[in-house]
Amino acid sequence: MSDKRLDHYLEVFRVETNIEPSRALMDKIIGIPQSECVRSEQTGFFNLWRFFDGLVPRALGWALTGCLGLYLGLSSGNQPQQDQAFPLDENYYIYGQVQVLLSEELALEDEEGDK
Amino acid sequence: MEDLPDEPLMIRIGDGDTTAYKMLVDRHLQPFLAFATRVTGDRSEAEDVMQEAFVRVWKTAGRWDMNRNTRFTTWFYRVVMNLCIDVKRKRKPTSDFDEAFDVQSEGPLPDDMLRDKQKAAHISAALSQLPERQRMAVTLCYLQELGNRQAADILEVSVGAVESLLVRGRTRLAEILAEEKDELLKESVG
Repeated sequence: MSDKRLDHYLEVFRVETNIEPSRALMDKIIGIPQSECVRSEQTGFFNLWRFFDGLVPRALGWALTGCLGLYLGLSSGNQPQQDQAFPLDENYYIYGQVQVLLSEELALEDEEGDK
Repeated sequence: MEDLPDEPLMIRIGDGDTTAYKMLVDRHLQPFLAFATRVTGDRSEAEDVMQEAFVRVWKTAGRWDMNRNTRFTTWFYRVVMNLCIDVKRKRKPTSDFDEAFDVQSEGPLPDDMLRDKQKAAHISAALSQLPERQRMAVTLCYLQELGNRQAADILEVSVGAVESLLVRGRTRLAEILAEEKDELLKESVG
């Protein structure tokens, strides 16, 4: 098909499809700002609800983080101090040291006896 | 207000100005309805697309940025084009230009008019066989009569790419129409 013929076909198609919009369509489109669904989405209760709806997961997240913080804070506060939790067993340590001293003295005595 | 370009009108629409909205509809409904009709090949689908497109205008106007340097028509062509693509993907495969434009149901037509409707139906069918990008480039440049620069902006490609799409689109269209003509000749001889 020649270019000229193709251009002619395209021009015919352009004219055929260049139809004026119907009054009904015009009215529907002009009525969009007043239509209930668009208005309610923009300003109404729906929008307010969407705001709170989005706020719930965030608020829940912060609340849980706070609870975890409180729990950790309180549980670490209740724990006894390290020295209170494990008081030094003085007898054990003194006994151990005495044993060392005695064994050293015995060893010295043995050496002196040998001499 | 009638002299105002589209972009300041969008700012006014964003502030809830229904007069500005009506002006924008008056200005653009017909050419964009024609565009949607050419892309979908179906008048009633094109009307649905236009309703949805203007709902988006009303909803998006509040976020319209004058500093963005985007022309309203470029943005709106993208919106309408994407809606048309969605409609075509969802559609049942039975849609036909003759049905969509009531070629047969308008009663007896003068020969010339009937011939023009048939030619339009052939072009519509041939256009629908083109790959999507080629079809859009041909529709924007030859049918909407936009410049290659704006078509490139709408399709988000370079001007060179649009030129290439146009060349390939025209060649393919001519081939499809020639094939159809051969088939019709064979049928009439047979």
